[in-house]
Amino acid sequence: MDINEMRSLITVFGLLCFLAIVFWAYSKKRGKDFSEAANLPFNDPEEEAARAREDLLRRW
Amino acid sequence: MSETSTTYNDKVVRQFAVMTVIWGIVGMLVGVIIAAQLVWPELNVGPYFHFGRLRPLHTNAVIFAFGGCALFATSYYVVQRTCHARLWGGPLIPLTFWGWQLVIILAVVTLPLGITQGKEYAELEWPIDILIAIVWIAYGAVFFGTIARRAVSHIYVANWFYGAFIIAVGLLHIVNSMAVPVSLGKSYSVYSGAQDAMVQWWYGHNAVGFFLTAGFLGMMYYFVPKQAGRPVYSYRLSIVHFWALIFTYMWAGPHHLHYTALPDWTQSVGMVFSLILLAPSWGGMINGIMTLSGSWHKLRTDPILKFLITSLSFYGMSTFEGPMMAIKTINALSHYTDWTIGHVHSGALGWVAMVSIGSIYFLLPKLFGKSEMYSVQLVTVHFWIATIGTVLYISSMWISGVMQGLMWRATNADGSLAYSFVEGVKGSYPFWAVRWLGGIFFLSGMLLMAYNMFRTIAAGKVAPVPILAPAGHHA
Repeated sequence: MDINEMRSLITVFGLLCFLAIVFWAYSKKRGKDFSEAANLPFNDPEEEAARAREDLLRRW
Repeated sequence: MSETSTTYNDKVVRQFAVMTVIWGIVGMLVGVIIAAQLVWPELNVGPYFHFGRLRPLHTNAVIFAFGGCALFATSYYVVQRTCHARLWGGPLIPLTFWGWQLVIILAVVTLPLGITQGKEYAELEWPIDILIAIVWIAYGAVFFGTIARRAVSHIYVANWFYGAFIIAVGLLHIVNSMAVPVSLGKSYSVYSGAQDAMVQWWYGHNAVGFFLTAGFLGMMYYFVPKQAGRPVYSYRLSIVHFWALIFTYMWAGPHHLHYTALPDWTQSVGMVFSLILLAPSWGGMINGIMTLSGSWHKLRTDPILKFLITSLSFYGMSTFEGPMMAIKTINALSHYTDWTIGHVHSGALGWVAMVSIGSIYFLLPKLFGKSEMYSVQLVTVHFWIATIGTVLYISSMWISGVMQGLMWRATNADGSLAYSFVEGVKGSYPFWAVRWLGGIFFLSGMLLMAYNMFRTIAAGKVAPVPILAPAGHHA
C-alpha cells in the first residue's frame, strides 16, 4: 500500500476512535460510574461532614 | 503501618508551592524590566542585560520556573488526594524538586551569558536539556507510580490532564532538543531549514497546548470543584474535552509559520486544526464555569473563586482569539506585531497565572495547617490588581499590534511603503508604557502574595496529613 493511503487511513481511524470515545462517554450506562468519579475530589469523610454541616446551616 | 505509608507526602508540595511564588516574582520582575527597556532604551545594559538576553530569561522563568513549580506542586497534591495514596518514588521525589531548581538556576546564569540554542522556549543548551529530560522522566515515574498504587478504581480527570501534560512535554522536549554538541556551551540542532522550523513550532505550540493548557486544566478540574464545593458540571464533557484536545492540539503548530517557506498545505492544515481547537477549548471553559452554577453567590465573597473563574474567562477569550489569529488572512495582519504578545499574555497572565495563583492560595493554608490565608482581604486586593494589570497589558498590545500591522502594510499609490519601520516603533511608544504599567500592577500583586504567604507560614504549623481511606464503594 502507498504510504499516503496509509496516512489517510490513520487519520480516518483517529476520527473513528474519537467518535467511539464520544459515544462511550455519553452512553447511558456510564452515568453512575461518572458521578462517582466526579465526586472523587470530595471523597474525604472529614471534609464531607464539614460541607454537609455548612449546607444544613445555610438552608436552616 | 509506618508513618510514611499512612500520610501524604506534602513536603515536596510545600517546596514547590513556595517556589512558585518566588519564581513568579523573579520571572515577572524580569518581564517588567524588559518592558521598561522598550520604553527607555537606555536601560539596555550590554552585553549581559540587554533585551535580547533578558527576554528568553523572562519567558523561561515565567513558563518553566513559575508555571512549572505550580504544576509540580498541584499535580503532586492532586494525584495523592484523588488516588488516596502517598507519592511513589522515594529519592526520585526530591530529585524532581532539586533538579528542577537547578535547571532554573542554570537558565538564570546561561541565558544572560548568551549561551543559547536560539529556539524559542527551548533556548537552554544541551547539558541543561539532558538534566531537564532526567528530571522529567523522574517526574513521570513519580506521577504514574502514584497512580499505579491508587486505592480507588477510577483515575480522576484532573490526573488524565496532568498525565498527558507530563508525557507530551517529555516527548516534545526530547525530540525538539536533539542536537549535535560541539562544546559544553554550543550545539547545533539535528534539523535544518523548513524542517527545523516545523519541529520547533510543533514543539512551541504544543508547549502552549500541553504545558500551558493541559497541565493547568488539570488544576482547573480539581481546584474549581473543590473551591466551589460541588463536582464538575459534566464529567462526560470532561472526557470528551480531554480526548478532543489530545487529538487536535498536535496539528496546530504550523500556524506559527504562515507565509513562510513551510509548504502551503501544511500551513492550511495548521490553520484548520487551530480552528477546530476552539470547540474543545470552549467545552472545557464552559465545564469549568458551569461548575459554579447554583453557587454563583460564592463569587462575591471568595477571592480564590474569583481568581479561578476569571482565569477561565481569560482562557475562553484567548482560545477564541487564537483560532482567529490562526486564519491566514488575519495572521497576515497580526503576525510579528504586538497583537501576538497581547494574545500570549491574555493566556499567560489571565489564564495560566490566575489559575495558578488561585490554586496556590487554596493550597497554602492547607499545607501549613491553617484554615485560610493570613489575610483574605489581601487576596481580594491581589485579585483586583492582577485583573487591572492584565487588562492594561492586553488592551495596550491589541491597539499597538493592530496599529503596527496596518502601518506595515500601508502602501502609497505608487506601491512604495507609506511608513518606515521606525514610524511604527514611534507610534508604539505610549502603548509600551501602558504595557509596562500593567506589568507593574501584576508584579505588585505577586509581592502581596509573597507577604501573605510568609505571614501564613509563620503562623502555621506543619503536620503530616493521614491518608484517608476512600469513603463508600470506591475502595
